Amino acid sequence: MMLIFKLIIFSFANYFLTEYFKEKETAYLFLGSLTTALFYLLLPEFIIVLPFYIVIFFFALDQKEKKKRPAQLMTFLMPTLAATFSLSYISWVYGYGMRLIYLSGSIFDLSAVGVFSLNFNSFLLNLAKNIPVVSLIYLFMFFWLLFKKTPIRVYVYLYLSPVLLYVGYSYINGNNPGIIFYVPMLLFSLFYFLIFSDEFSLTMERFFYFFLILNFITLLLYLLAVMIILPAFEIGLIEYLGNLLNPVLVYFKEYAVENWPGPGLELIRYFYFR
Amino acid sequence: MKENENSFIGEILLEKNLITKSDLNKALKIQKESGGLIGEILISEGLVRAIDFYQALADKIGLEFGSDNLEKYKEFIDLNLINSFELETYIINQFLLLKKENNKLKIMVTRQNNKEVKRIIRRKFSDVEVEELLITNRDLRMILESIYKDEMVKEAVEGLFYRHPEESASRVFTKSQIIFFILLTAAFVYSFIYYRSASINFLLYFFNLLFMGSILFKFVLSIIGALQEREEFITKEEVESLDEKELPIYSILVPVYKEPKVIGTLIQNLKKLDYPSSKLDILFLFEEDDLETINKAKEAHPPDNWNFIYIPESHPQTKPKACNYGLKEARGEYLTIYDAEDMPEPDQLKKAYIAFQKSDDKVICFQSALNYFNRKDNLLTKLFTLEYSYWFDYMLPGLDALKLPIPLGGTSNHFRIEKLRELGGWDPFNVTEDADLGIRANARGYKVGILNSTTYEEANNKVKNWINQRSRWQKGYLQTFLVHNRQPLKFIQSVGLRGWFTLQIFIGGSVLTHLVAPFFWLLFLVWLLSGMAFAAEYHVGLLLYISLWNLLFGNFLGIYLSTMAVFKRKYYDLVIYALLNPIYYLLQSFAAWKALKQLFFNPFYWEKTEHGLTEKEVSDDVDF
Repeated sequence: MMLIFKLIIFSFANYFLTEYFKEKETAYLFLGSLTTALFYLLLPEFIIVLPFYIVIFFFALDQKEKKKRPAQLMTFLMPTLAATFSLSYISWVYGYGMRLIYLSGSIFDLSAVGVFSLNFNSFLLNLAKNIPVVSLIYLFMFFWLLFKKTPIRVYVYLYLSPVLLYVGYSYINGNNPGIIFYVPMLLFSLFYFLIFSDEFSLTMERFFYFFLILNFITLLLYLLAVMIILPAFEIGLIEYLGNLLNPVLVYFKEYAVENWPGPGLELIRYFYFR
Repeated sequence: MKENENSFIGEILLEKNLITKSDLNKALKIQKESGGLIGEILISEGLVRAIDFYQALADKIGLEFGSDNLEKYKEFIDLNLINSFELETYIINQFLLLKKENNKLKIMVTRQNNKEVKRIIRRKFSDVEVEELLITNRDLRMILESIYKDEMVKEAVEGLFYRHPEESASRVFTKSQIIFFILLTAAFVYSFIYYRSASINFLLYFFNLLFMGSILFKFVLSIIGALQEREEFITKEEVESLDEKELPIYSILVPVYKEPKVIGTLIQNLKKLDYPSSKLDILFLFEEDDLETINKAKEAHPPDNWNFIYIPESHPQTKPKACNYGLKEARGEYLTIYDAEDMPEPDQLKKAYIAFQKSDDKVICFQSALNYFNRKDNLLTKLFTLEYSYWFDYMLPGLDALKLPIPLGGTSNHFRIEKLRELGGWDPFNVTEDADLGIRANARGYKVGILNSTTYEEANNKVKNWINQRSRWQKGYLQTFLVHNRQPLKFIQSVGLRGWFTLQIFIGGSVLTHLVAPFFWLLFLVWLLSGMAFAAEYHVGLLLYISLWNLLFGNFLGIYLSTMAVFKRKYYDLVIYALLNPIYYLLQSFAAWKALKQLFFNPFYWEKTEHGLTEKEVSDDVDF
């Protein structure tokens, strides 16, 4: 249930951010950035998709306003960076050193800091199981582009972020959030529909409703199916790929995540009082 | 005045070579669009001198022209007769009773056959024959000032104190406040001696909770304030569709003291206002000994209908006293204040007028946003701009939306003049008279609104000058806090608990947090560098969590609100400077300590802010 709540927060964050690009009102950027930071605090794995957002917030503007690029990026990024720093600082105060990524658990609960597991096989397995559903959800996007025949605006890609997050989340935790992941995804689709409803024609609206309902049905059917049928050869292939890539992931885990070289308290004291 | 009569006056002026044909056509065109009398239009547009116009008018209608021989007429003045009406009645209706003999009443007027004047006189003197004497507006004011000068000074200084002594800051502390603070100090000293650890713990909790409350309050206000962006209160279309003929007289008070460098620019900026010039009642408020500024203002040749008011020397020599003095002479339906270095957006007065039309009678003031035109001068002006942007674009709209008391900013606040007079004007002893007035208005059941228009000012670009200005603001906040906390229960009854909370957090709490912030930073740094156990001993459990929140979220919020505010204003270059917000905060702490010292030793001293330090007259992106 907690994950549903977190992903609903994520849906809201994306809703505000997309509204910002559409309406050009900074109030939405303000709310969206803060909500994104809140989501980071709830689900620090979000940091994996942050570079994706950085690209959007750097490039999504008129070419004439080049000064706006770094300003817009900084305005969006600052709350999440502040949240990252805050978690790191708290960890440092408790003697765990500065860290880039902190996993879920109470912020002030010492035992929860640094719990990290990688199960690449399981990740690929789950991804394979879910790709059809994820793809189906993006049929919204496909039809929008097909019927509107307009160039893709960069902020449209915000719509893709749940998939990326899902990839990242599974990447780290090696589990399948299942239906608790898809419910907020559908919610996000609805938000998206709400934002762009005035740009849709009647035909488009019908398509959207149609696919929304279809998504629900497929989701239910799919979840039922994966519980009963899972082809053995698929598992074998995934395991093979997993073994191939595992050393890279272990390297990432050891050097980029767990041994983040932030300054330790003792180091600073040594610097001042040696 | 009928059109043919207008033409006739115009033709006389043409014949006398006082105006050109194109001047007359221009004035007639303005009259057609905005209404008003042709003479007033010609004078206000600077097309004819007032003295020449009135002379010509007097010749035409066969009236005596008083301005020709002012000293002679002054001798006729009968003070007992003059006391038949209030000063405001004379000012608003532009006349003065001169003498009454038998059934004949001689009066000075600036406009012949004014029906309103006749109605007022008839109500007082039912059966008199009125004889009019024409005089220029400036001469009428001069005579009124000479008659009422002492009374006006007394009223400007002591008016509020006599009517509502509990609302005046002329006493810094009341007896009960002194007793309260002595008891509080004694209790703390006693507990510090006998229960040292508990006392320190209590203090740490108190200030940390104060910081926390202040941060949360700011956060809520910023969210609410940000959402206000979605609704434009007065739209461009509303301004464009306004019928200028319906616009009333608008008074503008311009208190200036030792501003010879900027007075010329100010006059040019005021000329840019998009409001019928004949309906502007502009009053420059000079201290009478400030000859340099007065001479510079004269050199700038403002139109003859702009008034120079000379404030007699008296204590305290403050801006609110000057404004109170000016208020007595203002004749508009609405009134605003501009400082010497102000550049208001041209349509601001029209927006304010529409805003009043759209609001209920309880809304007696609208505050425009303030920002800076010289923000790129140096680091200080950049940081100052960051602060002003979030204050006027997020905090005040947040207070407005939540219907909380709004401490007014120094200039560009627009009033219903009648209500301003009812409130007693500004407190001349309060050095942030504007903030005090906003709170007082709320306590009396009135509301202050926020206007979506900006006035650009000059940001202080010298640290010493900035500290002087800021210390005055902080001292004024302390005065306001003390004044409105004299009778806390009565205040709560007037403004409700939320309003009371706003006063504590926004006014008092703001200064208090600035005062104690350096100690907390010091404590933090000592602990960081030395690993001293003292700080850690107290910072455990809940207090640690609150401290962490204040340190991390408090600083983040300060930085982020500044970031958002300048991003919204499209000052993209300034976004990065928001990171320096904590340093700017410490600078404010320095000013707060200076303010506290002055509150005890020099409470009414007005720290003059020097203007004209910037080399820029207009920023690159202020375009109007």
